[in-house]
Amino acid sequence: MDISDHVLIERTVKSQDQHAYSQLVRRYQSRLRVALRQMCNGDEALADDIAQEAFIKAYKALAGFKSESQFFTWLYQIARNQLVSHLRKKFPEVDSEAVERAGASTVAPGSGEMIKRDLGQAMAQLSAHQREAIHLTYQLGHSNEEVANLMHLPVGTIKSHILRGKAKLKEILHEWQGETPNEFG
Amino acid sequence: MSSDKFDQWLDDVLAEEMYLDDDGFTESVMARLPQTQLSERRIRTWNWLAGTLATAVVAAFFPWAQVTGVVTGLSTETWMIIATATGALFTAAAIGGGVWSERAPV
Repeated sequence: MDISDHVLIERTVKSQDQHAYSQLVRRYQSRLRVALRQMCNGDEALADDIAQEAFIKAYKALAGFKSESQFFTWLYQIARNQLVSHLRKKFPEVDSEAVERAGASTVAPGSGEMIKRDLGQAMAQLSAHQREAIHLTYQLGHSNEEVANLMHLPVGTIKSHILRGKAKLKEILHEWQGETPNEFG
Repeated sequence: MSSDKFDQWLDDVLAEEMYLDDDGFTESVMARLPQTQLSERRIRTWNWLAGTLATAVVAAFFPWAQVTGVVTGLSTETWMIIATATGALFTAAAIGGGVWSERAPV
C-alpha cells in the first residue's frame, strides 16, 4: 500500500528520514520532469537539472510546507520559479515575449502518421503559456483555478490560453495531415 | 475527419501522461541533499538513556551486601578521616579550577 504524501512529509520533517523523502522524489520525478521538459521546449538536460534543484530546494523548505495544497503543486511552483530565475540569469536583457518566441520551436513536422510524436512537435510550436496551460490541464489534470494559481495568471487568461492553444494545435495538425496521409485521412 | 472526432482524439492523446523512468534521478537528488544533523534534544535524550542503562547494569551486578557489611563495620574515626579527605579533595579541585580559569586566555 502506498504511504500518503502527508505521512512521508511528516517523517521527513520530524524524523529527518531521508528515505521517506526519496519515496516522494521517486513518486513525482516523472511528472515534474515531463512538465519541465514542456516548459524547456524539449531541453532534457536543463529540465532534469531544474527538477533536481527543485527537489533539493523543496527538501530544505519542507518544514514550511503547509498541507493546504498538494505536495506536487508546491513542488511545481518551486521548479517553475527556479526555471524563471535561470532564464533571467541566462538572458537578462530578453523580455518575456522574446522568451516565448524563443520557446517556439522550428521543429519540422514529422513525415509519418499523425501520432504522439507529431503532437509533441505541434506542442513545441505553441507559446510557452499555451503549452504550459495545456500541459497542466490535460496531462497533469489540474483545474483551471489550480492552473491559474500555478501560473500566477487570471482564470480567464488560462481559459483563453487553453482554447487558443488547442485551436492552434488543431490547425497545425490539420496542416500536416494535409501534407501526409494518416489515420484520420 | 470530423471536428468532433479530432477534438476527442486530441483530448485523449493529451490526457495520456508520459512516464519517464527514474534512471538514477532519485539517487542523484538524494546524494545532493544536505546531511542530516542530530538535534541537541535528541542527543541529550540518547545520553540520558545510555546513562540510565549503564547505571541499571552496574546496580544489578554491584555486591550490595558485601559493601553494606564493610560500611557498617567502619569506626567513627575512619568516617571522619574519609569525610575530611573528601572535603579536602573537593576544595583542592575547586581552588585548582578557579586558578586555571583565571589564567586561561579569554
